[in-house]
Amino acid sequence: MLEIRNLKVAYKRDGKRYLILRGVDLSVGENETVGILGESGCGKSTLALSILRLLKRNVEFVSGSILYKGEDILRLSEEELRKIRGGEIGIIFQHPFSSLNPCMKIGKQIEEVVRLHSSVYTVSELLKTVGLKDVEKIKNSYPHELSGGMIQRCMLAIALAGDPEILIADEPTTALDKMLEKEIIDLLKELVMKKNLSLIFISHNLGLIKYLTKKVYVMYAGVVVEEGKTDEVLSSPLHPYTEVLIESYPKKGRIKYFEGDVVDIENLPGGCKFHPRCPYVFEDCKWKEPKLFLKNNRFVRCLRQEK
Amino acid sequence: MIKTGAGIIVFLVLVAILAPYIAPYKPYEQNLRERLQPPSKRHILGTDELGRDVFSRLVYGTRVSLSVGIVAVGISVLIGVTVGLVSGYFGGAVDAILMRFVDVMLSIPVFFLLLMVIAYIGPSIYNVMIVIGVTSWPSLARIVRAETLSVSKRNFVFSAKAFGFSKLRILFIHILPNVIAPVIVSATLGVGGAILVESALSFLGLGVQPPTPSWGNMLTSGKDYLGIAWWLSVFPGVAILITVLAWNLLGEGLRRCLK
Repeated sequence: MLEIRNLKVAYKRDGKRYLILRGVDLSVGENETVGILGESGCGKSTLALSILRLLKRNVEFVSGSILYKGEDILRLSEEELRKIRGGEIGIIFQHPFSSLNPCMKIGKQIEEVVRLHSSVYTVSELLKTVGLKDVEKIKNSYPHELSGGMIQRCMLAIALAGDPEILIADEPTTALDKMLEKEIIDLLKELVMKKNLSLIFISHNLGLIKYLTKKVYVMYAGVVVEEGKTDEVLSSPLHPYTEVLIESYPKKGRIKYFEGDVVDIENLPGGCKFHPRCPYVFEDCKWKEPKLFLKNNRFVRCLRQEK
Repeated sequence: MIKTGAGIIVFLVLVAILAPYIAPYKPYEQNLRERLQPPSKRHILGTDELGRDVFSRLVYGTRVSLSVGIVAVGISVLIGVTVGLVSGYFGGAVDAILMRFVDVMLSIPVFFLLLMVIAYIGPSIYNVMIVIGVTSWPSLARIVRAETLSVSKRNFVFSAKAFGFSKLRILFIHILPNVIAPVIVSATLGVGGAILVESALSFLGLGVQPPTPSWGNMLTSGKDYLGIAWWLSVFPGVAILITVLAWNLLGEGLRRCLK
C-alpha cells in the first residue's frame, strides 16, 4: 500500500547539503504493522515526516519516491496532499502536551478535523473509541486541563477522525510515564486490530516494537541496516548494530552500555558508517560501503554477512 | 488600574450614547446675548463666543473623540494584524517586502504624513478616522509578526498541518488566537493616542470641522479668548486628558495581567 523507494532527504546549512536519509526503501502492506528502530539522529523521524511531506523548510527531498496506492506523494499538489494528511494517513507525535492549540477547547479542535475530512464519526464517538470516559467534560476542557495520557488519547482520536488506512506513530509514548505508556500502547494495538489499520511505529524501544509490529526496519545513519520479521530480527540479529541495540536494552535491572558516539551526519566516516563502533570491524569495512542484500529471508547491510 | 480605566471608559461611552439626555442645551444652539459667560448655574461650564453651552458641546464632543479613537484603531488593527500574521507565517520574500515597507512607514514622521494626506483629501471626521488608522498600523504589524514567528514554531501548529489543515486555516484559526493578547494591549493604548491625534488635527483645523463639536476644535476656538474666557480651553483640555489617561490605564493594566 505504501512503498518508499530509494528516498534521499537532505538538509541545508551554511550553503552545504547533508543527507539525512541516504536511500531508504520501505514498504507497508495492508493491515501490516511495521516498526522503525534506531537511535536518535538515525533519520527515523525524518522518514516518518517525509511520508506526509512535513519536513522543515531547510530540509528537502533529493531523490526517490513515496508511492501511496500507486501515486507518488512527492508529486501531489498541496490540495491533494492535504486530503492524505489526516485523511488517508493519520499521525501522532511525541509531545502530546504541545500538540494541541492551547486556546481552543478539545471538542472544538477535534470537531475541526472531523469537518475537514467529512468524517463518518462524531467527536463523541471518536473520544469513546480511544477509551475516554466522561466525554462531555473532555470536550469542554482546554488542553492544559487534561493529563498527558488523556491528551495522547485525544491526539489518537484526531488521527483516527479521517478514518485513515495508515497510522504513523512517532515515538508516541516517549513523553509519558511507564504506566501510561502501557495503556497507550495497548490501545494502539487494539485500534490497529479493530480498524484494520496499517501501522508505522517509530521507536528506540525494542520492547514496544516487538509487542506491536510484525516487520521491523533497523536504521543507522540514514539507511536501513536490517529488515525482516520482527521476532526473527530481534531474536537472531544479523547486523552488529541490531545486536548492540538488543544487548543494551535493559533486562531485569541490568543495563549494558554501548560505547561510542551517536553518528554525526555532517561528518560521516567512509566505508560502512557503523565501522567506528562495530565490535567485528575488519579492514574492508573502512573503505567499502556495504549494500543491502538478502540473507536468510531478510535484508542486511553488512560486509561480514556477505562473506 | 484596569478597573479605573475601564470605569471611566464605560462612563464616557454612556455619556456619548446618552448625550441628548445629558446635555441641557443643543450643541449648536446659539444665544448671542449670553456670549462668553463664565461657569454659572445656567451654564455649568460657561458659554463660548457664540453663546453656545460649553458643557453640552463637551458632551457631544465625546461622541466624536471616542468614535474617532475606536474606528481609527479598528482600521489599524485590521491592517496591522493581517500584515503581521502573513509576514510572520509565510516568511521569505513576502516577509522581507512587507517588513521593508513597514520600515519605510515608520521612518516617515506620522504627523507630517497625516497633515499631508488630510490637506490633500480634505478634512472631515471620516477622513481623520481612515488616515489615523492607515498610518498607525506598522508598529502593530511588527508586534504581531514577532508573536507569529514564535507561535508558528510551536508543535500544535505543526500537528495542525499534519491533520491536513490549509495554511490560511492554520493562520487564522490556530495562530491568530494565540497572538491576540499583545494586540489587545497595544490597541487599547492606541485608542488614547488616536484621540490625541484627532484633537491635534482638529486644533489645527484639519480634523473635525465646526460647527460639529470636537474637543480639539473647541480648544482652537478657545485659544482666541484665553485671556478673558479660560473655561473655553480648560474644560475640553481636561476632557482629553481624562479620556487618554483612562485608555492608557486600561491598556497598561491589561498588559500587566496578560503577561
